[in-house]
Amino acid sequence: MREFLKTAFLFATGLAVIFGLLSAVYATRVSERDNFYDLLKRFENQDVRPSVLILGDSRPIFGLRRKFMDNAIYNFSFPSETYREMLLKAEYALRQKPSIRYLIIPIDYHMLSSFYAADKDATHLFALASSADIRSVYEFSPGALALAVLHGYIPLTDPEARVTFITVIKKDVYSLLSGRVEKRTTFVTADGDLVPTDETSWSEFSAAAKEARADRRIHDHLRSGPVVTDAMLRALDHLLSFAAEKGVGVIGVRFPVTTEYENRMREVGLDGVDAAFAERKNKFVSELDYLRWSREREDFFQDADHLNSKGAEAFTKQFVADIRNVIK
Amino acid sequence: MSFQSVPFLVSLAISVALYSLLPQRWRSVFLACLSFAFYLTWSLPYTLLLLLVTVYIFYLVQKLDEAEETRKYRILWQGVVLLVVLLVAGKYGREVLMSLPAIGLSSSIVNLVAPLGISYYVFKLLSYLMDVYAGKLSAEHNFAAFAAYVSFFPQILAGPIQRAVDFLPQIRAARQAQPYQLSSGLRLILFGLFKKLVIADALSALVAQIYKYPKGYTGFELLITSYLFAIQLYADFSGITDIAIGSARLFGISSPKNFENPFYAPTIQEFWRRWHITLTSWVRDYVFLPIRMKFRYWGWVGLTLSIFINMILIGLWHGATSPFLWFGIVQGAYMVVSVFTLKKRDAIFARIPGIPVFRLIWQSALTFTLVSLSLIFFRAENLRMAASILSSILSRSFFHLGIGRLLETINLVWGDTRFVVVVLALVYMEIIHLVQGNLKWRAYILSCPTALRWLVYYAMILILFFFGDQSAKPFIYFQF
Repeated sequence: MREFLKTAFLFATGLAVIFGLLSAVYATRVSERDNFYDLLKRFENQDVRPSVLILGDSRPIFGLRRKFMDNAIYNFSFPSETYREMLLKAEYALRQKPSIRYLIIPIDYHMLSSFYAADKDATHLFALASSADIRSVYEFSPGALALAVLHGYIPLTDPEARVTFITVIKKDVYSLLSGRVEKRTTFVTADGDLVPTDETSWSEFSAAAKEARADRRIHDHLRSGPVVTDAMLRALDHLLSFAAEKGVGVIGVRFPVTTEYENRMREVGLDGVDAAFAERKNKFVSELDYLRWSREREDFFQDADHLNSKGAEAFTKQFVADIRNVIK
Repeated sequence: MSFQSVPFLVSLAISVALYSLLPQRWRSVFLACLSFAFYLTWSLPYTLLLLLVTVYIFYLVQKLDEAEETRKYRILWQGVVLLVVLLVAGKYGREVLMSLPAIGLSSSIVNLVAPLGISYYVFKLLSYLMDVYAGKLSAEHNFAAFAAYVSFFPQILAGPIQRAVDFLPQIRAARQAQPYQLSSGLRLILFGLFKKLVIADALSALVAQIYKYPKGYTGFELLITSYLFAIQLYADFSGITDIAIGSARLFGISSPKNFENPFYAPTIQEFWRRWHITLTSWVRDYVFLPIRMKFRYWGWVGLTLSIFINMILIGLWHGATSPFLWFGIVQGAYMVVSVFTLKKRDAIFARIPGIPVFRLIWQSALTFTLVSLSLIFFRAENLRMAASILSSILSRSFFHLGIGRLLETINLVWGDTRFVVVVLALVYMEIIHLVQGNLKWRAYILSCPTALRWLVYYAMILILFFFGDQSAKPFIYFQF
């Protein structure tokens, strides 16, 4: 039996070593190249001293370009971020940059949906928030928190991280064999913008393709469950109270989408979302609605609900001018 | 607590350690308590029912042991009737209640009438009662050992259906597992998880996608899907069986085999000797042989009747739905045709020189195809769907041989990486099965350098980790 236990121990040690090596590969090939950490590092730069901080998901990050903003406005949004992430990022940002006087947050129709409420991946947030804060914002049970901590510090224990890892390794192997460097789907530019590698124009798609793509987006965003959830409302209220407590003004922004997306969205029924934001209207310094902005310019969109570089350039100019008006 | 979950594997490791540390006399008590605790993680009412049945049958068998010969038959029937009523109510009550919407029972109440693993433990108890009555086995007087037999947690949800004559001496001895049992048990658990999470669950996602809208596929594509479902079912069921046998081995308990390369069987009879062996041997011993004896003077009619009753019972053992009934009828028809034409086929093939190898391949392929086609009844949501799929396969569209839509679906569900992994995993599974069935190859593999073998195990663990399905799909045979 002793011999068996010794062998089992050796086997387990070997497995731990392999896991350690893979985690090291993950750290160098995935974590280090993770756009989130790149953007976070840029934000931590001491020269960054914004008075207006933009938080949000893929719409603000793809739809705004730093080149057309002044130093007072900083875009700290990241794809798929919900009000929970925005709250933790706001807390972190205000600790780091006391110069912040205004927060810009999205008031898009999908922000309160069950699609976002179900997103409980807090992996990135361990870089900027304490476990206790994450637990309170995500309303994690002790077990769920332990799992989130495990995923945060040992990413390969997270199934989603494993899928990313396989994708990266596959691309590496492909590059090695073909001699061609595989492009990433998004990358951070020298200016600090996050942009998609392959940009498209909505005007290039056929009518059927546009309908199908818009339908798929709406299915993900709004048809997977209730469009207003208590969890997301609590996170929004938490974010608004935090801002009020710190004396920071909040500006709500509804970002542009295509006609096809809006039509499909209206089919779902959005009265609940309108009512929820209307109830909180007095907690916002201002609300800017760009939902139908430049609707005739289909070439401004890369898909159903994201601007491309051309659209982002035009939109940023307008957006910055409007924000200046609000905060002056 | 599901077999593929991390909590199960952790509690298994802790339980094995505690079991080996306990004095021998306490081990059966520990194993019984552990098994009931495991069952309790699924449902309290089911656990109470299991406890009641265990106590009652234990009491009945004590009475049977002490009773005079004339009373024994009555006591046996008392037990058999109770168990059969319980089985019928447990397995078929749900369907009956669901078909009576007028009663207006809530689904939670309806679900209570389908205790998990009831087919497995009732069959164990029935065979125990009948064996004690027939004098093949003496009555067990140690309640803990008996309770451990009935509720043994690796076997209670999906078998194998181990006979008391095989299990009870092992639990009485309650020996600590030997190192070779521990290592082979762990290997089996790893292989079982590999089959379930890498192969069965991947195939399940693909087959489910195709069964959502079978009309969109050609007959040829549906035939391939029926092969894929057969493989999925096998990987799923033999996967859980491997985990069950492996877990039992960690407690020093040997379990009977449940599969022996069934898809290489050259005939339907042979297939059923290799598929779900513990169920088919149970039905053979306690149903088929007694009926066959009763009908022994009826000639071919008697044999046909015995075969049909046997196969329909196997079909209905899975559930009281018409697709399962048809599954049994189709298998019965296959079996009858196979039995009655065997001699003629042998005579024809004997006349053709050099045919044996070709015949073996052809027979195995044909048997696999027939089984796969009958499993359409098993997988389809209802009889109409099964009939529609079968008619597509048997229609002219079959000869178009197009697989474009199937490839599209594979790409949609799996993507290229998963496709490669599943294909390689299937090849690996078959190699392992062939090695397991061949003593010489097994000895050769075990004599390979440790480092080489460990590399294979590490590779399996990594494939499980990176490509194993994370959605915790239940094992198909849990529902039976």
